[in-house]
Amino acid sequence: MRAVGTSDRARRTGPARTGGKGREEPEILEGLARDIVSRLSATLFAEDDVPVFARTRGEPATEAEEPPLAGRPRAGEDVVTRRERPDLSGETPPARAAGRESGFRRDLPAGGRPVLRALDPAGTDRPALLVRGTVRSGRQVRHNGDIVVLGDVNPGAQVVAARDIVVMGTLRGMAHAGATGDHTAVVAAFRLCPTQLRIASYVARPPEEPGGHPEYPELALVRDGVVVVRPLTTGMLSRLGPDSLSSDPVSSTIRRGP
Amino acid sequence: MRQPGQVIVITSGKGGVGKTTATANIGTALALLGHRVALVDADIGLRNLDVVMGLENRIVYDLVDVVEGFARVRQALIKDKRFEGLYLLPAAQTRDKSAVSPLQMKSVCDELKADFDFVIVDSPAGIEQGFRNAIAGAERAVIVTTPEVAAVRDADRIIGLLEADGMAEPQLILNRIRHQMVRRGDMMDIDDVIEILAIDLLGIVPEDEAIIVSTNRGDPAVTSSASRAGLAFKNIARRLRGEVVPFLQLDEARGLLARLSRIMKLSSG
Repeated sequence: MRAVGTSDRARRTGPARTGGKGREEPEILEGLARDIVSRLSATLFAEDDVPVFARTRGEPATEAEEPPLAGRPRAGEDVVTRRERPDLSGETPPARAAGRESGFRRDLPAGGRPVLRALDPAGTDRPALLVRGTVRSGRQVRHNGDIVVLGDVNPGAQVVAARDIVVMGTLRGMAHAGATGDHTAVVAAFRLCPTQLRIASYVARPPEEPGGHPEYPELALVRDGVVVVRPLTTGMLSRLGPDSLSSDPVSSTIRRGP
Repeated sequence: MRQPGQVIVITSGKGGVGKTTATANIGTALALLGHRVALVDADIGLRNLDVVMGLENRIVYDLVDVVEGFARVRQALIKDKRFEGLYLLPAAQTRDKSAVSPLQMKSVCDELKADFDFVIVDSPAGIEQGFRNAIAGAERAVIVTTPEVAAVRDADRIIGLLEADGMAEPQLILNRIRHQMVRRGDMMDIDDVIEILAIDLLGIVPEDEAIIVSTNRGDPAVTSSASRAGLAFKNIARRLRGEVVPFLQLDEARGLLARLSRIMKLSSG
């Protein structure tokens, strides 16, 4: 964890500013992305620990009746799996949202809920990057748009995208979606068991479950200031809704920690 | 005119997983099968292969002498004390990896493969120049790993580097498997390792105390018929030359031993 932060910090260049609205040259955007990522890393890794991400287990229908398990991990308590109703459109009970707030950075507008974006990047001026084959340890794939990996992402490998990341295989390494600040970005994988997940300024690690990761595709997104992992079903994809975010991901505000 | 041999690099990324032991045993096993084999120690500055082969006291010239023009390849090659057709090109102990360039290494390998059926290069640990040298002349790569998370991680990195270098389909040796620990769930499963690394399995070598004894004695384990690891390395050598050999059933051996010990107990009790 520290090592990642340190190396990112080492790459840090001076602060960059932008006044435009998505009119920058790709190189400038790229540089900006790197800068923001490194700054994010520098602040994020100042925290003692990376919070555990919440995972919604099982089929949505069977989960619907269960009450949510609120609360953030106490010191020394690693295994935290938060179950919640996999209802993407409904209101979130405040207790749940508040439960983990202190463990995460919140950069959502007050009272608002994340705007979910479709996986389909139609209409974007930044095409997706398709990576064929396994991304092995030591390799880093960066792209100022969406990244699709036709293969596995192994431990020690990093995939960093300005927008969504889709892994058509097993994600075991680190994935950072929305790396330029887009907190509506998602990470989808055939098998989701990452070393660490980052979405915009949110960082989470998987719960240390004895049973391992589920044997079905999952999708990670930020909901109410928490990285949540849900079973990936066609139903939920259709509810992700259209891309309603600004075309300029850099314009998303990134706040420093309290 | 004879067909040129093939150059195979044995590498791992992580140190201590059994590259040198694998090189010595596979080379010896191939010589036992009647092939002409040259072993090349690319670990300049930390040479070990000569010790494991029991040939340390015969070194006159080494790899660095060859690339610097002080000796011809033929002069530096040491003939094995046991097997016809088995030779060692030792590394220099007094220099370091920068004494040889990948290009020089490639020309040495090319020269060797004109004379030998198999040229087996023992790579140093790491991903720096020593590794670059070791793979420079090789057309095949064998990755050695143990079922430990760190070793598998490094093996994965090495596979990525080899792929980037254009090396076709590296193969995997899974070394030091302890079947009982795997069964208890205390050791990574063979399938887990294969799933992550996603390359062809060349062989599975069980943990075997005989390896430590034979390594210290300078007598590769394949020369002993009693060693399970030696048998595994013999099978690997046969697969390297294209034979189809079924994998050792690790639990079967345990079963036989257990049965034997039960019989012993019955007769004594």
